[in-house]
Amino acid sequence: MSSEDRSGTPQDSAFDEELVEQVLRRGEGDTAQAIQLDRDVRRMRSALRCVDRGQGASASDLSQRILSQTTGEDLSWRGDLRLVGRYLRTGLGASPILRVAAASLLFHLVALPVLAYWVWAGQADPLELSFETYERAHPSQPFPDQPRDVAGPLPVGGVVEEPLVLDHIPVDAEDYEGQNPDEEASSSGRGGGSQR
Amino acid sequence: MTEDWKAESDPLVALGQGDPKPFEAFVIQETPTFLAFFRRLGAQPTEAEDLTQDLAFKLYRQAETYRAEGRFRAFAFRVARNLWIDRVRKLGREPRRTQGALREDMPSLLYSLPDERQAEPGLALEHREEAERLLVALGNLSEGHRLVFELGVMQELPYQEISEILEVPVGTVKSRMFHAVRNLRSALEGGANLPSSGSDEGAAQ
Repeated sequence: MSSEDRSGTPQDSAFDEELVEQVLRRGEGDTAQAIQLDRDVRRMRSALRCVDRGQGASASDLSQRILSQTTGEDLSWRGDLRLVGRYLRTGLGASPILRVAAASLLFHLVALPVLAYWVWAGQADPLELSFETYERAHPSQPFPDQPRDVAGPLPVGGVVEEPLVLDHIPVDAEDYEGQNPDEEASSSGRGGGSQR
Repeated sequence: MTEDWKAESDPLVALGQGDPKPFEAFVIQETPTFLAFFRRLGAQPTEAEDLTQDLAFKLYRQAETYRAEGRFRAFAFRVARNLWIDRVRKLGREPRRTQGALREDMPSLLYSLPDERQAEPGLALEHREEAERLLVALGNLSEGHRLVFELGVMQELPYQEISEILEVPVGTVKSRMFHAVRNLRSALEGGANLPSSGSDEGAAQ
């Protein structure tokens, strides 16, 4: 202990550790010093207990909060709801930004159905947005609006295609023998006059 | 639910046996006590609420394994003291800063005092000034001295229980109490607050 600490006040000589213990234990004193010390201790208690009294409301809230989470905890769905509600209250109470965000969300949730009803009920001219759509026409087909060509479609290249003779030449010899004699004669005539 | 918990059985023993009423009465009656206890040790208001809540939860969870040894009140204060030490270590506060926290927080502590000016303006002002001086003196004490003063003077626990709670010899408790009371007595009379020293602990031990 420092010398400064030992020097202390003038009462130091009048009271010591034993006296303090005696006063605190018995709450009263036999001597004048003990009575004075007891009075001072009571004054200290009284003044410092103002701090206890000053926080009565928060202490009451706190004790209720503690009990609701210990012996009074409701394990049913109602308890869950209460817990969520308390969580939301605490969060909303703590943050102004969260309050603004929640108010905005609530406004939108309420306003959107009202606005939709107002528009669809015809109380106001809804925005008329018209889109003209056309079917995508095939290049070979005429556009629906154009007059049809009575002569029908033109052949490709402007010439009527007829089947070529070569397309009908039989491939096998049997097919060749079974052919019409006139046809055979004409074919030999066309082949030239070497047989004559 | 609001009856005196001390008149009934040990709250945790009762809780272990399925009777929550003594524990509820304890929470309702002693929450202000522990709030003020933590505040006077230097906790901020929200910190004191957290610590008090943690204390109640800790006691509640111990109900199944709890064995009554001595008075329940002393046991609760031991748990509270351990919580305070854990919190101080967790926050990495230096001891001196913890001592100073009470002084820094003095305005809010004093504003929280009940306003009695309407009843007796002069007396209320005198009380406030007295309370302010004492709180400053309390903030000047070391943590060991403050704890001893808090438990011995404010909570009126006997030296033996304080010794068990703080895990220090009874002689150390006596010595710390003497110096704490002397410093606060000095503040009560409007004198200079003497800085406390911890060297007396070594001598006592």
